[in-house]
Amino acid sequence: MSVLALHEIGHAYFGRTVLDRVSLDIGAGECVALVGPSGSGKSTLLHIAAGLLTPVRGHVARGYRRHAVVFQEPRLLDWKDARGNIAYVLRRSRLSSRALGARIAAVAELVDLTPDDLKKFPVELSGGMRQRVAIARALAIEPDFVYFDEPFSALDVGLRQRMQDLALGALLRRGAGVLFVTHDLMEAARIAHRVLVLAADGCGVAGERAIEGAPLARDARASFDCAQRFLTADPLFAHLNDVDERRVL
Amino acid sequence: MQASTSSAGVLDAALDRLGRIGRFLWSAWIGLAALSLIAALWQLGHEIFGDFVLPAPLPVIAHIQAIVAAPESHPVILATAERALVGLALSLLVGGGLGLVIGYSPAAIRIMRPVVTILIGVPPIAWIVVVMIWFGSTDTTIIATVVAAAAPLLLIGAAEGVITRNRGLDDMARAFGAGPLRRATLGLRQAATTLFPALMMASGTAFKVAVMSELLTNAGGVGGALADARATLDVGEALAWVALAVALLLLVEYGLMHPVRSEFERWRSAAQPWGVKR
Ligand SMILES: Nc1ncnc2c1ncn2[C@@H]1O[C@H](COP(=O)(O)OP(=O)(O)OP(=O)(O)O)[C@@H](O)[C@H]1O
Ligand SMILES: [Mg+2]
Repeated sequence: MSVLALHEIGHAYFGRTVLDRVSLDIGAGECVALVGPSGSGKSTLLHIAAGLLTPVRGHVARGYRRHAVVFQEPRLLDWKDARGNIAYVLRRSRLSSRALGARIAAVAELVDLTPDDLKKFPVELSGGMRQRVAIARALAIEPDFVYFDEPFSALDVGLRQRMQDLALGALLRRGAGVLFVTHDLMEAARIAHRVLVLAADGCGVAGERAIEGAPLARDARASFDCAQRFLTADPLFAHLNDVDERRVL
Repeated sequence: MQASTSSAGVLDAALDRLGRIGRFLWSAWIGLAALSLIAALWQLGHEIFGDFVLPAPLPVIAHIQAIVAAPESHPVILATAERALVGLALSLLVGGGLGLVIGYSPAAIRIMRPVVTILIGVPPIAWIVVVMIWFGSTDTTIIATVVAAAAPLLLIGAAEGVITRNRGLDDMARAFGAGPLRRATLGLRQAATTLFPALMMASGTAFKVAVMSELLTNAGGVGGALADARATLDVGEALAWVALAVALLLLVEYGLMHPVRSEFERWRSAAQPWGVKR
């Protein structure tokens, strides 16, 4: 039973095609990593899936209840402190002020933000902290599907792994579906059930690989080996680390 | 536990606010220093050019005291203040409101740009003549002139703020289920960044234009008093009235607009280096 199905999606910006015939399916409780070279249209695809862009061709079917999005940039409201930013998306759920405080404290703990950090404005936070506020904001609405667009790219290796375990772990345990865009094959190999590779020119999904074992249960050794195997022995990933080929040509 | 943390939060917020008010009042010393500098230059000019061209600051200050002490001059000052403020409020309503709406519509922006340029290019004198033919020497004439001069500034300020808003935030709000109305409040909030500077300019314009059109239409107020001073060639009296008009403007700016602005832009001051803050 799929909670997100993209069928033959095509998109063009001002007549320039960036996506063509892309189809993908995500089942309930599944975490799918989407990789592809920079500029291949990953963010565009994610925005289409989340309903923020209307595709030129194809259609999207969503079977989940409520989604949240973690954008490539934090997209915080400058004039609200971290707490206010998280509370902003909770206004629709009409929580009592006590429940609101408890919810914010819970998600802040998941992303390692202290009560002191919550009082700071985005300009007073580091890049990684801003990204973590954005993650906390997404978790706060208790979504059953989350779109992540390179959410941990501003974090160091240790913190990245902690975020994967805490934030992503909490979601997957609740049975939420996840579409996770990343550059980092090792990250993909650690967290996902499946890895999809977007073709460099955006023309469809070049292929997909299932990863053995349960997400987040794999140790560093296993995910490193898996990423190495993909990169060295698998032709599907051959062009992944090329810088946007179309621009070079 | 819950209660104690929340009361600590309230205490923190109160202390923070007290600190900010204190800093604001403390910054008055710098304003006083600037005024003293102006007075010193003024005194220098007086000593070079003589009493008839530029009276010394101290006698003018005595003039101001006399005007403020005389009960019959209060309605004169209040009349000008009221006209300028009503004009400013109407400008904010009409110009600012229209600017917000226009900011959201690319087609409207293209149509309105040349119109606004024309409106700004027309000198206030031209408005005075036309408006006086319509309304005579009344409050309405002065207020209408003020609106004609100030509204285009606010229209540009508001429209520019909406146009340059961070559109990524619109998408963010939509992704989290916000409807069109809540997204519009996001745009409004971001428009404050450009609306406040426009409002400062517009308030200066409002007072200047109000005094000028009072003088030209003989409609009383500070402008009318200035016309009387000119008739009797009393430069000291004229300067005293000009200083009063400027003082009114300063009162509105520092008593009303700066506090409101700093409330809106608290986050900006959080990021400012120490020297800029004070
Ligand atoms: N708003 C836009 N207007 C015009 N072109 C755009 C726009 N957004 C993206 N593009 C183009 O679409 C293509 C895909 O962009 P997209 O942001 O989806 O790439 P990406 O795969 O997410 O890259 P990265 O990994 O660097 O984030 C790029 O060539 C980009 O230039
Ligand atoms: Mg991207």
